[in-house]
Amino acid sequence: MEEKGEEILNRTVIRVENLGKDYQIRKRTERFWKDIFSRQYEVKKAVEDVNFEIAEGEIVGYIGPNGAGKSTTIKMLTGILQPDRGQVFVNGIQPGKCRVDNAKNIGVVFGQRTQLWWDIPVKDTLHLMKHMYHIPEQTYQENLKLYSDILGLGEFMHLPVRQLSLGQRMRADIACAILHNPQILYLDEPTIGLDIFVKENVRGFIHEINQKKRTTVILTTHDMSDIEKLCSRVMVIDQGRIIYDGSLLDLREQYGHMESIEAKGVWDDVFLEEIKRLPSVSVTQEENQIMIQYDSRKVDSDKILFLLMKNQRICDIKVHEQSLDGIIKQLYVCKEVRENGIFRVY
Amino acid sequence: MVIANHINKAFLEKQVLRDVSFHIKEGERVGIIGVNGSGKTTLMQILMGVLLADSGYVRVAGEKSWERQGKRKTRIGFVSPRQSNLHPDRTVEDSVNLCKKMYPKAWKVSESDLESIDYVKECLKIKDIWKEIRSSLSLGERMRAEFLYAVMMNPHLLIMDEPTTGMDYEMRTREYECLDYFRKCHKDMPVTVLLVTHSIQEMEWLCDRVIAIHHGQIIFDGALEYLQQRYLSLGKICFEIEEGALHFHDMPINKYEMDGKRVQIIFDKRYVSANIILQQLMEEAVIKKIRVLDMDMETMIRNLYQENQSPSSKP
Repeated sequence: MEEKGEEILNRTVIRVENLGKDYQIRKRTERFWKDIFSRQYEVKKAVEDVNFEIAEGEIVGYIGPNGAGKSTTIKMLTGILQPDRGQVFVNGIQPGKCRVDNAKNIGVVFGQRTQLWWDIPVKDTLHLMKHMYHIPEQTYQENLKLYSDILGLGEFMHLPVRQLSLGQRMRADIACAILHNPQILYLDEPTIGLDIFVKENVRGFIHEINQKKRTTVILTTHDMSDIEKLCSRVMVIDQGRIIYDGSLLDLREQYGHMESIEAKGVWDDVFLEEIKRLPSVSVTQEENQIMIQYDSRKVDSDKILFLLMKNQRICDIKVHEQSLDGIIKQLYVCKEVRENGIFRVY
Repeated sequence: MVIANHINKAFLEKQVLRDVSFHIKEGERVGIIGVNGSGKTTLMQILMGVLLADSGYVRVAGEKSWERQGKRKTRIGFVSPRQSNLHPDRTVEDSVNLCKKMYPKAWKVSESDLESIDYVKECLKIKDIWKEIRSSLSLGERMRAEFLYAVMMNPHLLIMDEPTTGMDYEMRTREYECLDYFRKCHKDMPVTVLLVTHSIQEMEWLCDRVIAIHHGQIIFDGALEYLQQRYLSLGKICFEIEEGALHFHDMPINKYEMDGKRVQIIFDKRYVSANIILQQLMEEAVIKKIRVLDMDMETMIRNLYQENQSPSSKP
């Protein structure tokens, strides 16, 4: 990594070097008996040559399509899986080798699973966690009060987990993961299936924990609004390789130049021709509504808007920037990135 | 297609659905929204015949949904992350073949049907997971297989309960493309779709009607456009000032925020249109990087729920 001249103010908590992990997949043929006696395996590289460092107090968004290797990386960071190549250091510990020591430092939430006991009240699970992690009574009470306040645990504290709605369960799960003041919090799709209110609550909570306790957060999600609201830094992984690592702002600036203007009004052909003559502009018309798409590197929105303003008969205008979903999608297909290796903006 | 009149349902003392009524015509695509725990899933389960309503009148395709389940199963497709149609210890292929054998009568398909199924397989990249055992699939992968399973039997009604959980953006768009394609293939009788989701974007892609449920009651039933008009009246303009100074006080706007060069203006679309403000801005200063946006959809949903806080729900 190139970081000469750059002063790292914060302590590095996670360091990943040349990380790699293979999976063996059994090849099945049509012939049943042959399959049984001679098994053939195919090696699939789930994660290949991944390098990154994460400093204390960062909130990092880790995104990629299904099957890109996100969960595999997280599993190696938490110590569930052993890396095949390369090394992982979390707080100076190799999580694969010292799982118990590592577990004291981290909190994990997998959105699709739960670590709460299904049949007993939330309160009891939390109490159990207190003993499992040897949390001092005072810290336990303080944390419990703090989390109940922010997450609103109070109203369903006494209910068994199976009676909770998804939103309540998720809030309880997060409280449970972070009860022992971990330095690092891994969140794997924490907002899956949640409505907007709970989502906001959860996001607010993550932000607050990050601010108050300087907890480092690593977040994988498919919901780009999570990333937009929370993360300062994003890492994009595709086919086991990191294809982007940098700030969200830079990502927008590098890839988000396709913008569009929507306008309603009365149009004449001469006027539309004039707009079409601008570089990189394409116009589609649908009755009285037009859609102008353009590349913001070649022409600025104010030029087009100025032209539109001269036309007195318009009634509604919208100017959109490219959605983050679109940018990420573009990143996956962008060949340049692959060929030139990793883009690092840090 | 679906008739529901005055449905009530309670679990012990907890009233989950209160007097819910709606009619859905054949071929309609209806989105259902509501916060977690508002009763959406219960409603779907009543429609499918898994649960019985305490009172009320429910008919799906003219029949009682809780009777003659075997026959009905092939006529209703169902996708949900919580319940799976696929066999847990078998490959996707086996589950699909088993389904064909279980319902030989329903599995009378024409060439064009096969073609559309192939299209779905291709589009959702089901080949990659075709020979995988269900329990080894990730959620996103499983949901793709579930979708195929649901549409395979050419259902009349498709109930999708958050069908894109765990999927990435690309796959999400593809799933809706598939659905569109599927409906085009059966023009004479396009499938009626009930979509439960938290994502307004997906609703925009698919639905022409929205039903919002809050505390077990229907608080909105109508077109998505109407919902937008009524609850999404605020717009937002962002830009950077290059030269000149602006005087916001005499502008017809609600509020503004300035952060160095970047400025954000919020205005009410019911009273003033964006181009009037823009014109005024451009006369007074040189501005760049202009964006004119709607307030986000989440604000719209929030407004909707806040307006309909029912007093009976409060403890």
